[in-house]
Amino acid sequence: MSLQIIFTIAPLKERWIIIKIMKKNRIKANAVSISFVLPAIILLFTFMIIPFALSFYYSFMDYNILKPNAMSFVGLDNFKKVFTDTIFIKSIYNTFRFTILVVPLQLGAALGLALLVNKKLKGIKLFRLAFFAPTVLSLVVISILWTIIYNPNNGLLNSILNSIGIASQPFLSDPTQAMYCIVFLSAWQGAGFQMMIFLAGLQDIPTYLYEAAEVDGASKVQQFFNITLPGLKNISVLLFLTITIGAVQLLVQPMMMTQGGPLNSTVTIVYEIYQTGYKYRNMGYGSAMTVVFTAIILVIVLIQNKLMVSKED
Amino acid sequence: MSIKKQNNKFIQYIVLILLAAFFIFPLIWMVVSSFKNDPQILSDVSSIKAFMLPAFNDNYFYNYSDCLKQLPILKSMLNSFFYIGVIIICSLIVNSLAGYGFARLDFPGIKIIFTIILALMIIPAQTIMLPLFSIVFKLGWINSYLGLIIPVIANPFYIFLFRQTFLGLPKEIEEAAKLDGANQYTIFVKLIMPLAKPIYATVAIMIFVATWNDFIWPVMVISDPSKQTIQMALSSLFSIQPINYGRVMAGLTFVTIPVLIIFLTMQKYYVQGIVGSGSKN
Repeated sequence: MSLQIIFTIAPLKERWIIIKIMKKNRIKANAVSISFVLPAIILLFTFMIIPFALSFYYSFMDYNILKPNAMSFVGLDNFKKVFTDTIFIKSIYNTFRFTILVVPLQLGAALGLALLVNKKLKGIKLFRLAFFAPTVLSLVVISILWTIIYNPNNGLLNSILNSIGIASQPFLSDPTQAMYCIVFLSAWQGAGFQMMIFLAGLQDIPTYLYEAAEVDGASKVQQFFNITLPGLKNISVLLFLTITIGAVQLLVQPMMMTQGGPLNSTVTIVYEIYQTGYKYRNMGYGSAMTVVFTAIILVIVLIQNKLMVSKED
Repeated sequence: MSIKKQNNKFIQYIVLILLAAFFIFPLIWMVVSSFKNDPQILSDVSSIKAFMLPAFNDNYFYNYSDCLKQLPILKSMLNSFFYIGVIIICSLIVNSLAGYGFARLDFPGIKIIFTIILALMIIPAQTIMLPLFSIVFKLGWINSYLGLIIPVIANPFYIFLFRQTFLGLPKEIEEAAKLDGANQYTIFVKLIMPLAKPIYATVAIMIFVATWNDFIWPVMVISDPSKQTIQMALSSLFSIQPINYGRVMAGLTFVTIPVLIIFLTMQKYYVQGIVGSGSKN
């Protein structure tokens, strides 16, 4: 800054000295800036970009991690296998089913709760805390806890159902019910998190909009559709995206609660990737599954980006 | 009118209480059952007693002492605290430096690099876990905390959060310090870091929660039982047959306490982290 001022007032033939100093400073500044970002760039390159590229490379290989010297190129064999593997296809189906069920349930519950606790009532903070409480627990904890609650013989849920006159249910041991059970507990655990984000969004909507609408005689329902919902548009789209991406990565619940069963009804894509690549050490085949999974995620992101852009118009 | 309003309020409270009960009944059951023995848990389950603490007796904390004595729960908790602590320190330094670099300093190509880093945010950890495992395997970090720590230090989202914060700080103080002859490092440590304390707290909590809950990566990297993390210890506690419910409940409650303490004491930053994660993009 100051050098530039000197530059403009300096006599013409002295200006080159200042240019030289500025150049030298700039090179020094560049070296300093690079040293700021370099550690992060090296780490991200080694542990994100390289693995990302490697998953494509491995997907064309027959590769057992314990026998690195026996790695051999097999072309598209892994992909041919992926698309005829009935369990993997089942896992894609299960993952989509979980996502389609859990996203509207969790997002709807979160919005409902946020509207409910966005009031000036006595003790409302306690209720916020109660709705948020399940999110503080880790997925491992809630998976174990709900496996015990869902226990068909002497579990808590069946005894609650019995007490209101409903017959005992098999829950996780039944292939048609198991996935619904996982959907239910996932939404139960996650909704409080998105509730907090919705709540922040609700509190960002200026109150004068509601006051003006009140003066104009708009009903509560009209206010909701014309002020509240548009005000939450960006947040909703974003949460929709993050819940969807989180949902397609479902892993811990089936791993802890059902090991993919019964009858593969809760096998998910990531669980299959984990089993194939890690448990059975079949890195090449697991990587081919990973590539398919990455493509699925990319398609979801692209579709939602498109939705987001068209909504903004 | 006012009676109608009162009724309205009454209904709202009823709805809130029912919903709150729905959200916390499993948690209450978990805590309460951790103080009971198995026959008592099973006999209480069919009545409201399931949610009531038992009368105080000599064996009140039996499940806890059993859980701590027979299983390396305490050891694995210390393991978790250790490696998470190292991750938090390294991650705060690396990501905040990068955030500052991208916010303030300019050199050719910096914009492109930053765009690439933003694009990395959409890569979910699960899509790279297999090749990452093979890299960690080749580096010889299997069964070592290095394998848990080093790969997760740099994080595009935290870099982004730091950059946004630093962009919001006034530039003038830095210019003044520069004129006084301070170099970039001094400016960063003496001026920027103290001004940005809240974001450091927020990111630290986000890292804690993420790594505390992380399960699959430690399962892949660590196989030595003496090095296992707390979530792994819980999982093995649950796999002992026949399942001792009281002991499992004590383990679950015990593991929830640290997160609960952090949540309750640093609620402001915790919530900021959540709301911040909603501003991704």
